[in-house]
Amino acid sequence: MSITSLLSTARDTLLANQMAIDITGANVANIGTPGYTRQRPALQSTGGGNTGSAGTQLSVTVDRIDRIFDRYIESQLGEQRQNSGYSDTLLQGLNNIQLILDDSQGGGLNEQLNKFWSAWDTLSNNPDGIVERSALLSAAENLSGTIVSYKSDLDSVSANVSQNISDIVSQINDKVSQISYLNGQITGMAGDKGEKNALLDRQAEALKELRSMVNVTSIENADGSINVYLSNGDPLVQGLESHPLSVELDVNARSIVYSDNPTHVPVNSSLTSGKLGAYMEMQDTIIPAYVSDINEVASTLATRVNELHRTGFDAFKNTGLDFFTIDADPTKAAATLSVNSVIVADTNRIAASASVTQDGEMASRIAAVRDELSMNGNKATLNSFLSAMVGQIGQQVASAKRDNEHQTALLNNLTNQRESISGVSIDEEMINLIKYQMGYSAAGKLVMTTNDMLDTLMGLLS
Amino acid sequence: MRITDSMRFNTMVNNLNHTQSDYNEISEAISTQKKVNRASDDPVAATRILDIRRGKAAIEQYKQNMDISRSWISATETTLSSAYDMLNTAMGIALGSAGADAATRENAAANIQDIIDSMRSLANTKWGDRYLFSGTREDVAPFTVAPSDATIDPPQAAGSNTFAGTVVSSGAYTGGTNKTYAVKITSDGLLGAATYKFSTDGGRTWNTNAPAPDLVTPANGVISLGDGVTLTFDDVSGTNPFGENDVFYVNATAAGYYQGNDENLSIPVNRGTNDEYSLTGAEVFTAAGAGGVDIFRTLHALKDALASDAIANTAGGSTPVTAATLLKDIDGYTGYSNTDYVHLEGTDTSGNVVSDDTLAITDTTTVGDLLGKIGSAFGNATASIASDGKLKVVDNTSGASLLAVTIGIRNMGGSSDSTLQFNEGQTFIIDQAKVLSDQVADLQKAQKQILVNQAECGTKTAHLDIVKNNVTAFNESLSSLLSETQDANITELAMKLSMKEIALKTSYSIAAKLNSTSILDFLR
Repeated sequence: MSITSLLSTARDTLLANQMAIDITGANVANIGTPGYTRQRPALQSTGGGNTGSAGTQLSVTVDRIDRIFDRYIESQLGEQRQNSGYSDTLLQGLNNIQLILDDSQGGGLNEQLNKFWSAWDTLSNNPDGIVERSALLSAAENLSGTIVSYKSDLDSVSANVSQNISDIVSQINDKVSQISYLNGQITGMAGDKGEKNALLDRQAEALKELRSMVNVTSIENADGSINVYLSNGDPLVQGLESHPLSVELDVNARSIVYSDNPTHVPVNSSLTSGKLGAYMEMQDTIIPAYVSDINEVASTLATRVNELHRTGFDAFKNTGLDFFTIDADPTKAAATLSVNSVIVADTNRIAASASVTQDGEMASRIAAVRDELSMNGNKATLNSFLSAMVGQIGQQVASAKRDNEHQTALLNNLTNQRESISGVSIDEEMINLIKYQMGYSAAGKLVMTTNDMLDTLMGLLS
Repeated sequence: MRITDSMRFNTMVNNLNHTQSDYNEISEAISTQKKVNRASDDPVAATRILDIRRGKAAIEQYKQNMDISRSWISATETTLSSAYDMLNTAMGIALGSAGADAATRENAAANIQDIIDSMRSLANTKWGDRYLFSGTREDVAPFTVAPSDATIDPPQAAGSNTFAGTVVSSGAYTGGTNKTYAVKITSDGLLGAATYKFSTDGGRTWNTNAPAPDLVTPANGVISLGDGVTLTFDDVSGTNPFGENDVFYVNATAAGYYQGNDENLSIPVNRGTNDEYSLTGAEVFTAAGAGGVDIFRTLHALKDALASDAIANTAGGSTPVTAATLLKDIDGYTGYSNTDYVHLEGTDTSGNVVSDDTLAITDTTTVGDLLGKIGSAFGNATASIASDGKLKVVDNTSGASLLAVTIGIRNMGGSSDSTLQFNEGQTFIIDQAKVLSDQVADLQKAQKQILVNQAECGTKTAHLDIVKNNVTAFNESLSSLLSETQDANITELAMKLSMKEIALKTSYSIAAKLNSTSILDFLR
């Protein structure tokens, strides 16, 4: 072994430690970068010792730059972000519906309905009373107005959801094309010593973000690219190809999502989790159920009151008039409910009596509809149906909230686990810095020692 | 475990969020004083709160209904008790006028007329917009000044009828009670094509001739509604079709003073319970009532009895009393029995005592026999009935009028049932007191009838009180249930809040110290 080879060793050491310090610097720099995976230099000794020929040539090199991560936790975290995305979005959407339907603090449909029945009762006490008649009219108009506004509020929640679906779909498409682009970058780059680390971080983060929006399965290929599929098997990303989703509105202004599968079949039913899954459930299941409840309330109310009202006699002894006007199509019931314009124009047309004498009997019969089991297969009154509806949305929100707390706790736990493995610790980096700095200083000392050795050798010659 | 900086940061932020959200929840509950602030706080409680509120709203309405019917009933009671007092007064007048002279009785008759007028205005009392005693009719005062014959009013049409032809009513009403007949067109068309239903209670219930309840209008337009009521429609040569739901109605009134109907007003006082709170004029003031006495007829009869001293001057009705009339046939002798006899005593105008005499009444005793007895009681005198129906006694010798005698009807061995002073020129009255006493008996029955109705008012009131007590007690328990379900336990919450406050403060102070220790501190 030659003295000058010592200088090579010192050089390698200096370079290796410098790179290690660079990597430490990169770790420190990215302490706040989402999805960043801490990196470590994989130092490797080089050369071989051969004592026999006194040619020992040991040195060091940075073989690779390792990303420190746990594949299992990464995949769990992707799954969990999907669940949390679903749970967050569902809770938010249900909260919006609860804002509309919840009148447990008073002032809502239940109260309007109570006032409506009381107004009929009051009219039955004085069927001729102009004040009682106009009080009834205004109670009825408030009631029908409230039902109409419940329906239109639910419609606007549905429209918002629809808007959100197209936003989310375009974000999904964005991530899909990002992943396919990164796939191209990763497969196009040679080497496997850590050159692709940054790209792999970005790819993993893009996939996690995609999974938070929609439920997908992904397969990692040998070349580092990933393929992403919807749960029905339609591909979103295949190597370098991206297959974006598209959205169309149907006649009811509901969003229908299509993959770019040439059969052009809606994939709504495959979108069951992530934010998009939550929006789909809101749009396709939850909101329609409440809309149909409100429609049922509107049409039952109108039908029962009208049936009685038609047999009653107004102040002019006319009969056969409907109290409410409503569209015959039950899906349009709530939106079209209103007090008959004839009655709005003249409250004397309210049929308060059961006979041509002003007995007020019809008004009290209509008021008694409040106790009729006319809803839910003749098991509930209109009021109890409505209060059960409030209970139902409350129940849904409460269970979504519990689920959300659970999912958030799981997400936090997994995030911590990932951070524990892949996150940057300043303390650790600082200690590494000291370590590599010491290595670097020691290598410098080696150069000086080699120099001294050479000097000594040269001195022998002079 | 390897702890990295973002772990410490995340954990701290999560914990702070959690503590703040708890703190917020508790302080919201304290500031609203409610533990259920939205349905999701406690869905079961939210449903129960709404159900309780509905129950309370209904109860409020029931209480209001009961207040209204109670005040109606108490107005009715007041009216009835005034009516009772008036009957008392009338009875006093009747009893006091027995045997009084013409002027007194005329005065008494005028008093009775006043009572009749007051009684009518009592019976026509309005409470709010409605008559207390007209049943469900409010377009007509329940009692008229004079009794009417059975009538069928002209038919009336509903305001928005399509039919522009004519309709008239005809027939003689044979029904016993006042009714409103209604005809409703169930499918439009001309006479002979349009179908109809009819009702005898104003439209409350309709004819049911199953399986097809709708009748076809006859081409001649004549529809008979029963009890003699007939409506005749004319579509003017087929140019005026009926419209669906056209309504025609006609009021038919039985003979008498009452114009209202027999329907009662009712009001819901609890879930599924309707209480009738009105009394009809028929059951209070007419013979349809519990006492079977038509109060107005009775008062009018009393007045007539007092005003006219010719009340008994008829035999069995409108036939004038003559000497040949049998005593037993004369009005007022309806209680006649073979043991009765007429008892005569008194003095004549000259002051001579008339000889005490009696006349036994048998099946064949005539007025002529009585006149003969009167004549002989005065000695040489002749008693007769003048052409104006008045009793005349003339001294056969002097030709002077002599009458001043008391005629009584007695049972054998009994004392005088009733006596009456006769004066010169007095109408021939066999026993006005007896007539009056019949009216008095009727007045007593009328009072009983009023009392029965008053008792009914009392029953209704008592029932209302019971229901109201129940409902009020129920309302109270609902209130406490509502409070239990929805109101926050402030003491407990205040404790929790201060605990959370401590936790929050601790979290803040730890957060402030976060990262204040690191290896960097020692790398100097």
